[in-house]
Amino acid sequence: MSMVTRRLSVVALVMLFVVAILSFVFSVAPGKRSMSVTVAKGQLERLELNPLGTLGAPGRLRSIKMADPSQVASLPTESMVYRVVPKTVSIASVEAEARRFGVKGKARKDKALTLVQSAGGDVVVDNVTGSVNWITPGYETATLPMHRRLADDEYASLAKAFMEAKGLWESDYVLTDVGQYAVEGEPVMVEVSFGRRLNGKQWQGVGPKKTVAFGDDGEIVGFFSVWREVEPLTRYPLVRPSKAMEQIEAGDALVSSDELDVDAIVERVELVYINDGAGIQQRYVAPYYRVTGRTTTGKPFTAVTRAIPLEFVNERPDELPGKGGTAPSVGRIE
Amino acid sequence: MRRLGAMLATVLVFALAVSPTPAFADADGSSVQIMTEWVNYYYNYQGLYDLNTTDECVKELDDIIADPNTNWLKGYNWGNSDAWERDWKSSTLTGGNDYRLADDVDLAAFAGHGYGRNFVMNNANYDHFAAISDMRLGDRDLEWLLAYTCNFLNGTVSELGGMMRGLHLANGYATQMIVTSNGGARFAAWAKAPYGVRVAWYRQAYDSQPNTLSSGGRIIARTFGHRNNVNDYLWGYGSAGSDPPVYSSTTAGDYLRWDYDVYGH
Repeated sequence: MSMVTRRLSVVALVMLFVVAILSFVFSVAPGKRSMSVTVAKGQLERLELNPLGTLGAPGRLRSIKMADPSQVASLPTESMVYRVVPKTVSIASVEAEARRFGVKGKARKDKALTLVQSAGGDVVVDNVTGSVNWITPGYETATLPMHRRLADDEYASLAKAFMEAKGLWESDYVLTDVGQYAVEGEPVMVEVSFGRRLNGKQWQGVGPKKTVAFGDDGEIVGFFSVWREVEPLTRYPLVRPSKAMEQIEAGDALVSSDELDVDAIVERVELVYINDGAGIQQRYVAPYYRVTGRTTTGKPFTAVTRAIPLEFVNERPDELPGKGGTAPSVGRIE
Repeated sequence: MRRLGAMLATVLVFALAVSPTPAFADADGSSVQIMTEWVNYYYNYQGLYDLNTTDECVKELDDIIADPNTNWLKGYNWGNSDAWERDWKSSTLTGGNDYRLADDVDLAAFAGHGYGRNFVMNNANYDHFAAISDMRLGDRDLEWLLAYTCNFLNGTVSELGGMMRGLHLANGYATQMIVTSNGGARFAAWAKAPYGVRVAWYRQAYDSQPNTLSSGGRIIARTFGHRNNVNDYLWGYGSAGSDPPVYSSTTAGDYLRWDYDVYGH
């Protein structure tokens, strides 16, 4: 064996060793690089999840059945859970955000928001999530129908260009909708929103969303967001869809229907991630089952229920159902 | 001595006139107050689910009261079986008592189930349903109403107009919505920033409402009121229009519904 061949062999052996070591490390370490690995049950931490909230209208499903039970066979038995990257909101960080929008001034911190306000517009940052908002006087005072409404795709292009110019755009954003603010049905402003898929799944809840607001004739008058950056935590086992149906029947779900005690036929079951609203501390992004279909009267319904087994969940104790009922009456007399 | 007394009295009157008291104004009430009512427990009344966040939702409006720069006070806070239909019902109707409650404050909020254009109570005092058709708000004091409930403002101008007896703006939803723990906190945060009541209402909707309801469902946050009051700020945070004329066939054209499409996001 020549000297060159021997050296090459040594280099190849060293590289193989390094690759083997790296493979081992990445296969057991939870975090960003553990996406394809199942961690043993005993190692999973309990997830602190916020309650789903409740529909402010009557809505109750008496029974729920699958139209085609075979459709859930392809659903996974485990799924990635993500950790929300904590965001620190400071006077300096908000003033930096303000400069991004050309707003100059001193920031002041309130309980929920930190603001830089000027005659030309304000930048308002949510203290918990760091979500950024920019509001112009044109946004605040728009109350009358616009004279010229552009086509939806024109708004989408303008919004994307605006976000790119302000450094607010990432390549994986997707257009989620073009909505409007209206007076007596006539558009006053148009708002274009973008979101982001996570692990190929859709979102349920408040965003994530970044929204550009347009006044008359395509003028940009505001930017709003409810946004959290996340990083992979590890994979968690999921309850089976049949268990999810039991949870929905038991009321352990956010049910969206305006009917009472009706039977329901499930047409679609999917896994979605939940993004909580602004001002709410959310530590994890976990999968939920979203079940849609029709009631026996033909009306649509949606139900969302937890996909992570209860043994891995800690609900926030200050928001457990029934908290408000701990003192249901003070014996009010009139 | 008498001259000294007169001078002191003059100085006192002048001082009172120009002293920088916290900025608030209320032409038709002696103080500026908030009333909150909420219902979490429905005891399966009419098959209704219990709710779990209504108390926290409206409680967070207290952030306005905590603001040292204004003089907002808590007028009333009634929850569960202490929240009564008659608190909202016009005193001109049998059992109604709004003069002492909802219409005796400047900002009133309800969180709970909505059924049609009704707040649903868990008791019959006087009735289970506080119906919009039984409300005559603003003829005593109330300026702004916040309804954290489904469908309360789902109606035509004429169907909603009857409650406008001086009420500046009614804020609610024209569709289903989710009662969330942060609804009141977000309204308070935006109103204190300060932004107008209407802007604060739809900013809180953006911050708290989900992107999907039942299939095809949209969430519409709605503000209903007189065009002269559309840019009202809460007392102490900016200007507010004077009490609007009572809704009638001759004033109906000045009452409008501003809709914010939350679902679109």
